[in-house]
Amino acid sequence: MEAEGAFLGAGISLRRRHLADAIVHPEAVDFVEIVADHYFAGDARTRNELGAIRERFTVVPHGLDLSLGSAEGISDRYVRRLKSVIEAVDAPYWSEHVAFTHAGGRHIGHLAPLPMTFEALDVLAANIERVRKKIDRPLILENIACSFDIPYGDMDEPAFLANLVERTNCGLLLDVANLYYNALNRGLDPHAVLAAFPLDAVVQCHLAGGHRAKGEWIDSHAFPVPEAVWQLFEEVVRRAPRLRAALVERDENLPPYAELAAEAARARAIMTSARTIAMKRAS
Amino acid sequence: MSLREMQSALAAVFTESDARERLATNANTFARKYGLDARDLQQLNALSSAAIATYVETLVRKRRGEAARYLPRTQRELGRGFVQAFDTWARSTTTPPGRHAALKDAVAFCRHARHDGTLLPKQREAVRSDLREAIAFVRRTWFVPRG
Repeated sequence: MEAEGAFLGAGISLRRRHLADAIVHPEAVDFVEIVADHYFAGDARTRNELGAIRERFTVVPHGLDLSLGSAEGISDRYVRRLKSVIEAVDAPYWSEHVAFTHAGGRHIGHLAPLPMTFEALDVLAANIERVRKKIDRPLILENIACSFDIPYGDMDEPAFLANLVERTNCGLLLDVANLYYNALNRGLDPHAVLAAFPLDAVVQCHLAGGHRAKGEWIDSHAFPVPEAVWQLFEEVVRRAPRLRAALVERDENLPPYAELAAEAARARAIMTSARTIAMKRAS
Repeated sequence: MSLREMQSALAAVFTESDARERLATNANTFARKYGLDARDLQQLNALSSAAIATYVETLVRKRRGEAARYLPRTQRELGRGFVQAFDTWARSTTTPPGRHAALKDAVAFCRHARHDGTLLPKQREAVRSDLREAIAFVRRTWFVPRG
């Protein structure tokens, strides 16, 4: 499977407001994820920023708007920009979502869910193949947060993702918070959903905290990782043999860098403990 | 069913209040416009309006989060009022097309907010200042001289 490799550890999704602190204290995290789209401008400021980040961290670019699930295909221009960021930071791999963001000439501006159908799998596989011809770094695919499914699918999400992995050989980025909130919004047991998830293919995890509004859970990345998500993550760590990285995401109510780094340290401790146990068992 | 037509219809429903209203009040006209067959329409109708409304709110929140990167002074001066001001404006507009959607959103919001009579002079000045910065950023990054 693509993107398998050395243990990266625990990181954060780096936002500009934390950049100065991160540059002074790079030792607080093992790696960072950057939103690739934020660095497409290619002006002096973004180039300098990317250079400063690259000098201090292993960097995993995260795409938001490639729209891998678009039946009308993907933008070559977007792929070129993505490629330039991925190469600028010499990324070990990069990530995108199992979703679509463009259709019928409209830019939705947010990740939209795909129907869990064989037709959608065909579209994803074709678009991923097209991207691979341009970007030679491994791609991992993330499950999105959405409070509803497109009705009349051919399968459920875990089966859809397992099929996708089999078709494309891509690893998975399991957003544990997305899985948790999606399960709650559908009245499902998150642990049961996790049990069906293709954990063998999980290479990286996202951890975040959301909130409840108007009866729905929203993965807003606005709060610390809740205990329930940490518990699910512990289960993932025990059962995902290819897991090499986990990171904490925060986009709103940004806390000090040290606070995020402390959450990353907790993720690191969980992964390290599980790896130690696994190595002892193996020996 | 064609995924392409279905995605096109969904994109309209997610981004345009007119499309949502058409789907709710005259589903057959909506289906003809987007080339949907009876099964596609059944699929769309099976989506609850509450689920779509939640998605639309998430989209507005996302647009705010992305545009806010270009609006530091406006956020500071408006405080909690920024969320309400941006969200109210975003609900009545669609996500701009093409690249730099967040920057376009930030510019459009500022152009709207600078004439908002409910803002204090200091707040309007913050909006104007962010607008100037955003436009300068556009000029630096989009209009690079050739040769």
